[in-house]
Amino acid sequence: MNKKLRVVSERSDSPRAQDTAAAKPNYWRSLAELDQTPEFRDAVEREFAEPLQELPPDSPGRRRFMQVMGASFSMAGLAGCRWHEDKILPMTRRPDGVIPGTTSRYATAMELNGVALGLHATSYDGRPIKVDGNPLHPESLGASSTYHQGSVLGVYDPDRSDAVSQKSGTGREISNFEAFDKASKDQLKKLRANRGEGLRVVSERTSSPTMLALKDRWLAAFPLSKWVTFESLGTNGRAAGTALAFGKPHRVHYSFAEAKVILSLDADFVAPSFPGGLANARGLTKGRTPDHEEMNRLYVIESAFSSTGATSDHRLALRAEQLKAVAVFLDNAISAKASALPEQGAGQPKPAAEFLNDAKVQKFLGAVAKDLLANVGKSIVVAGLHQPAEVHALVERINVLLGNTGRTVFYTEDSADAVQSDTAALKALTEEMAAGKVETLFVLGGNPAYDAPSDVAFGAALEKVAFSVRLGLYEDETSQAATWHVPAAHYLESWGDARAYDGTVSIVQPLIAPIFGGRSALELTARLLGEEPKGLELVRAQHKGLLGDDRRFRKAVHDGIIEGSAFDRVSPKLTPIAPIKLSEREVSGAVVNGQLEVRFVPCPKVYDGRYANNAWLQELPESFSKLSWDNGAFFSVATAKALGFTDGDVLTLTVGGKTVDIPCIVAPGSAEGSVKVALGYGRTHAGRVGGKVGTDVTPVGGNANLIRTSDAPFFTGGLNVSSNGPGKRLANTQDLYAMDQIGLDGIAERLPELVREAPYEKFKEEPHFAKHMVHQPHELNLWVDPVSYEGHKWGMAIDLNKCIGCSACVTACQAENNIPVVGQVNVAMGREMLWLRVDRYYRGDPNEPELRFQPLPCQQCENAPCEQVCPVGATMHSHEGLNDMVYNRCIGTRYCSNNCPYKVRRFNYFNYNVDVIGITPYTPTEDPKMKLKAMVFNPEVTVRSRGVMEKCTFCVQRIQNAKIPAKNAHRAIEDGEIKTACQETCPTDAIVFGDLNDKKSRVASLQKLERAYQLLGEFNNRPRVQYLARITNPNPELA
Amino acid sequence: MAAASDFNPFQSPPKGDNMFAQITDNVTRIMEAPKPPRAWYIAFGIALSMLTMFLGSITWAAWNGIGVWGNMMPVAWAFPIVNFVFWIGIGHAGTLISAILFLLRQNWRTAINRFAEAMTIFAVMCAGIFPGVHIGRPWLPYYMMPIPNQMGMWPQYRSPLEWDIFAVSTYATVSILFWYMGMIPDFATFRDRSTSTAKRIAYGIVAMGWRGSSRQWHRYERAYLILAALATPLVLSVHSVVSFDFATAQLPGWHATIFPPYFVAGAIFGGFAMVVTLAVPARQFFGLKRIITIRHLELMAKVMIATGLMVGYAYGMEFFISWYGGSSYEGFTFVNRLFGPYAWAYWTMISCNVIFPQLFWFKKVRTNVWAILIIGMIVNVGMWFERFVIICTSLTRDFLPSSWGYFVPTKFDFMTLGGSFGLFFTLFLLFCRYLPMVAMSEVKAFSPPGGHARPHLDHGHDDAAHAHAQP
Amino acid sequence: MSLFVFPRWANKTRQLAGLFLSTAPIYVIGLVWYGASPKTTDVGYEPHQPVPYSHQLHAGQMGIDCRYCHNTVEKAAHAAIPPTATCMNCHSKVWTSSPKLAPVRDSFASGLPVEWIKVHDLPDYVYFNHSAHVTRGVGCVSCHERIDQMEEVYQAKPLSMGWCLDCHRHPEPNLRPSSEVTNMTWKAPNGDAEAYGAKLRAENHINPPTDCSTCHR
Repeated sequence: MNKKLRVVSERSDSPRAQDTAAAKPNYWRSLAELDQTPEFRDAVEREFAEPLQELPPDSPGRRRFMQVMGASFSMAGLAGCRWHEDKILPMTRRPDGVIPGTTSRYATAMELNGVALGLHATSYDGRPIKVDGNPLHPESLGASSTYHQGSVLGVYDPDRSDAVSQKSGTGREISNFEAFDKASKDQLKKLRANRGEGLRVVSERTSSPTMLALKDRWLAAFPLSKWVTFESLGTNGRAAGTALAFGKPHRVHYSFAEAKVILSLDADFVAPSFPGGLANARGLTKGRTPDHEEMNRLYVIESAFSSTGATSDHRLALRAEQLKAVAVFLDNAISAKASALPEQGAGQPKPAAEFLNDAKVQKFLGAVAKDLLANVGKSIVVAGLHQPAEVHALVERINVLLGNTGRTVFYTEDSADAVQSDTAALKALTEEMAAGKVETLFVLGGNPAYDAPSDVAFGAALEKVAFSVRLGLYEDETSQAATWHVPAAHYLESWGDARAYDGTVSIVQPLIAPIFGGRSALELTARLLGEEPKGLELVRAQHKGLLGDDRRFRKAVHDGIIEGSAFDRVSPKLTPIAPIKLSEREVSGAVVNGQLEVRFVPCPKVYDGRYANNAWLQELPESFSKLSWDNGAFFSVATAKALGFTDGDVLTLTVGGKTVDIPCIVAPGSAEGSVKVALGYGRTHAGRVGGKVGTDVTPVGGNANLIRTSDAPFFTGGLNVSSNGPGKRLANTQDLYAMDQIGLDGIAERLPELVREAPYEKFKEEPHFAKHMVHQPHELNLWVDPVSYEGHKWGMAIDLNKCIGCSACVTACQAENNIPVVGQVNVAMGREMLWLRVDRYYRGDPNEPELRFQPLPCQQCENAPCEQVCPVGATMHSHEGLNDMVYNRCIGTRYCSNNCPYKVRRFNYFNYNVDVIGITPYTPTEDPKMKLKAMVFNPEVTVRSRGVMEKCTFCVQRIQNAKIPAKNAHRAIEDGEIKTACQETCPTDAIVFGDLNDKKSRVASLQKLERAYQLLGEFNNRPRVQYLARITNPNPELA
Repeated sequence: MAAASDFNPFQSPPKGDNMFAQITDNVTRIMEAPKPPRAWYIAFGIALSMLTMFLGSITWAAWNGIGVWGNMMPVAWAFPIVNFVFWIGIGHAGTLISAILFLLRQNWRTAINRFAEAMTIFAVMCAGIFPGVHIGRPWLPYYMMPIPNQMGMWPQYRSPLEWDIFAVSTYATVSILFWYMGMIPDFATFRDRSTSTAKRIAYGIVAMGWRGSSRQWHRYERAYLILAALATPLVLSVHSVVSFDFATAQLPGWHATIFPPYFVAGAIFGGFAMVVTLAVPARQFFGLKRIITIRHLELMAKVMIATGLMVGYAYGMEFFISWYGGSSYEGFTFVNRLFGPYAWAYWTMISCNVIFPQLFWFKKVRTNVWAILIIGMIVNVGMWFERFVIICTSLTRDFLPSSWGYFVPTKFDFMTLGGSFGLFFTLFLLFCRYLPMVAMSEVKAFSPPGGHARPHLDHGHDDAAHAHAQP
Repeated sequence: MSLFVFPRWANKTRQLAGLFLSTAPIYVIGLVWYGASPKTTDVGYEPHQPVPYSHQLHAGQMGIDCRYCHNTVEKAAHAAIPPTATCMNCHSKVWTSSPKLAPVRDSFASGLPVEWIKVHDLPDYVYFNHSAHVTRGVGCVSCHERIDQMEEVYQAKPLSMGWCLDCHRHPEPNLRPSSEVTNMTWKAPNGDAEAYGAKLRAENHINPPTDCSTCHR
């Protein structure tokens, strides 16, 4: 793969389909094909309608398919009965450095909830097929998350809106940009006259300097208008808290690698939805490598299991609302010891909370306080973003008192351009709209009609607005009520810029011209203001000051970041915090049904629902329940038992008279009386994946926004739950907690051998414990080794101490290897196709469980059971030790799967690509938009048809594409040159791949570590994957 | 033909004290009769409709992908393979009776060997279909054959599935030869007695010009002996090889050295159960009570209890080994069989295969036709469940708990299973109608004509029988 | 009534049947093996191209190097068909009005590609990489035969799996100095391609893999 980064020629921003064809610059010759121009439509029909009938059912002809879309090659119908005729469509003028059929990478960035992550997008013949983290980006460091991995599928989503539409009566009718531009121009002319009277704008939370500058110009042009920023998952507890503690809002940044003791108060700070989460994960796990240096110690107090909690050494389950009292308690304890300066104010009085008197809690908090005080300047306390201002204020106060500021905790002023999400303002606006005070409304992105709290009836109010414009990727819930819907451009289709949480600016660079002719928010706003509506020009102009000449701009685009654009770090003065009042609930202990706490969390898959139509993310098993295609209400074992619920029961959740139906998930580790529900489900106008009312695609999951209110958007009490009995078979890829006793005992018995672990002290005494845990019998082979491993010897090491179970690797694997989506029913039947799975095991007392993750790719056994039983030799051993799987030889006896002790093999029970591509070799569709889906495929990987087995290949295509150029250049492959997709995206660097014959390679040295062990190695399969045993670092006082 | 209250060629053999003539009449009249009894038609109708369902469900699976069945991960093998092993098992009794009992000079076998052999062949046919249709790409099974090709690819001979191909096809070939060989003299009898030219030519061709000369009898004897000798090891080899599919795998519950004998015993057990299931109605409807006597049924009952006990022993031994072997995974698998999610299947198997056959200890039961029939059917069910337990429950919970699953069959699974019986019975009913259901020549060899015994296979009497038979 | 007896001629059928049964399998295998192999089905495929481009003229008589047009062959998997611009390098000056070249001029003007028809077409699950072969000194002629003598290009080799394997297992006869890969008439010094190939193979450490994943991913 060509790793060299190139800058897209500026011409890439050229006008597209709706502009004149002649204006198309040559560079985008191939992309012009992608436009919905008549030629393209025609070409698509010609190329795809017939020939696929000609393909034999077992022909993985989909790869060809993409080559077409890549416009290097194309398929035509059969010339005659004898030869299948293919056509080659070369470019008329090939730009320098463009080699058909090779990949190149471009730097870009994706913004989520006002925080940008720098990315590298891989382009194949002008088509983005994969995104990965940008190693230069301070908050990516090369890592990315499920959201980013999945985002590339969104580019080719056939459900994306492809035309301007206008409300007509009850329905909507297709319109065009000309009509819209004219209408909006007239409307704005009126508004300029009355200085924006009755003009309102609702925008997503964005950190884009260009967008914010446009916003200022907008407000200058329309002084009477209002601009409301709303983000369903936008929190401002931290801003308000830091304001309380320091006088003005600040951002908080951490250096977890430096910390020795870390306390999280319901903060899942390694989650991608947490600002800087990926960098935090890297730092945290960097401090958890026991082989050479000391380990940090992680305490987590949380309401339900999170990745952070799963990684912790000590964990305490409390309801989210109880953490305020905890914070007060800790501040009291620490202020007492750490002598605060007078101007910093006195500590809080000891809180009178009954649950704090519980022996367990007291012991825990006492130990934590002691440990923190023992590690002054080397500790970190983090509060969950959803926690109220007081908690954040106290947490920062504690950090300051512990002298962490400037060592492990850093502050930057929350500059004005980091707009806070303002639910109150949205509520006010909604009332204005309902009262008919708003004549003109622009909704730039977002989907408030769906994700606004239930007491903000945005959708209904929108009906009352005379002239409303919705810019969106989909014609979704909000668009339904708007008078105009304008298709938006995907971030991989448009120029822009955005800031990381630490302020670093990234230039968002398009990889492809907008396929459906959408516009970015930048372009639309500029156009409305009558400015030059070219994204690139806007961005360039915005950064003239900082970057000056063109060369530096190009460098910034090339690198993906603008150096030195991060905010300056400050050390704010701590101000006294008045004694904090604790409400009845906040100090209460156990709660009964009707008074339960409900906690609304961002979905790790569909976020706030914006990815609801992304099949990869919908099918991804959620980290803790392993549930796909649904959201669940998470109950602790005790609570579920007390209420008599079990897995899969359909529950009616009622808060303040509002209800929603969601299936029950018994999730050990949840706080008693606290119910976790993921947002982002129950979309009614998502598309043919996420659900669309009026079609046979029912909404996926239940919409938790229905029981959410604007005053308590993230957790609240007063939840009543009632069961409607068992529902449909849940699509979970691993047994839920509730299973028969035999099974539970069996798991408990073998778990220590599967996920081997020991406390730090034991590990130091007995470093080889993991190797010696299981007796390895004398190895006798039935067959002689088929190959001797000269040359390369590929292997992998997976560090169980680092895996946080985020599952980014799983989606990355899916994107890299063209893994089909099988859908809810087939997942429920146990037919998911994911090559890499992240196993989740609960350990110990179900009321205070520990949680373990174990990523499981194909182990590439040297003595592979699968190879010996295949009757046709469709899976064979390569000379580099790969367990090759040959799809076109496989006849599908499935014997290999039966004999695989890891059950990592996956079988195409149906032609699942029908769902991905929308066509089968025998029943071609006439819908070119369905065919569009095929463009996301990686041409370097065969697309499997029905009836063949498949499995992890160690990304053999990446190996080949590194080996061949290296050999051509007569050089050796250096270590780290080949990264598997899962390794590349892993935030914690838990997966390392490389050549075991290269003694200096990282993987070789890791497999040599004492704590390295083979999973089920006692069966003499000689797996090429080795796991590094998990080492915990418990506090002796709590052990 | 009308209600047949007065005269029914199937029910009333002609008068006369010549045993040979009676035998010949009893058997040939079935073929000679213008119409079989109504029961035959009803049975044939049902069988045919089930056969249609079979073909329908297979075609459906081949067209849409085998996902129409309940197979999933980890249970990648389910009903189709269960059915395959089940039918292969059924297909054992025939050759056992014909070959092994022949070599052991068990004369009583002559009454039942013919349709036991027929049953074998039909069962093997049913079995043979499943490996072909259960694969993911049913249009490519020839990849398993060693055919030279431009890919330079050969099958993989380390795979037990490859061994299966050869084992089963060999067994099928030899069984068919053996069966056909045995029928030749009887075809000749049919030929000589048939009234219509068409029948005469048809039977004449298949009789291969048999004249009953002493030379022919001599050669026939030799060939029969040789084939019997050839078939004998096959009886043991086929199911042993089939058991290797499981025994060579690493899966707890499959990885057991006891499998070959265990499977063979089970096969004979199930095979005999199927023989009685067929013999009892056949002798009722086709008036063969005098040929297939209670004694024959009782002897089969004895064989069943013997093999039943062997199977029971194997069940016990599996548990002992799993404990004695000390592998926690093995141990878990068997505890899981007893009490896990599939316990119901396991206990069905035990009660059908081990508990019910114990009734055969009582002579009353052994000599009660209907009791034998019912127990035989129960054993058939039990043997099917044995394969289900071995294949499916072992797969549902193997090494890594993360990959555990629960297999639920779909309606197509049941249609395919039921349908295979359709195929079996269709063939069998046709056999009853048009082919010599009983090996007349052999039966005669051991039956006293008018009282005094005859030396083995005296051809002269065959001719006598003919002479008598001619009107 | 008379018994059924076989007529005398029936005896012949035995020999005939014996003959048939013994020869039929051999015949069928032969039929499938040869009849269905690419040697028979694919070799000689010579589609009619939209532009009557003659390799015989350009590569043969004029002696233009293959890499002038197929310039990605040493860098990439595909030996890319040249963009129209490459044709126009010369044909903007020579044969500017030739009707045969009309499609090329149209393409250059309109920006729409010339739709060439693919001649050497491997299955989608086969990943062939030109650069890997060319840089090792496998000449174009080894797989494409004497392109320089083809008026219109046709497939001269079976391009079947067995055919690929033959060379991967025994590459010597097809090896040459990488400087000579495009030379259609190159002959091994002292004519012994085998020995010379063996020497090159040793020098350049050429050991072609025969793993499945070499070509199938």
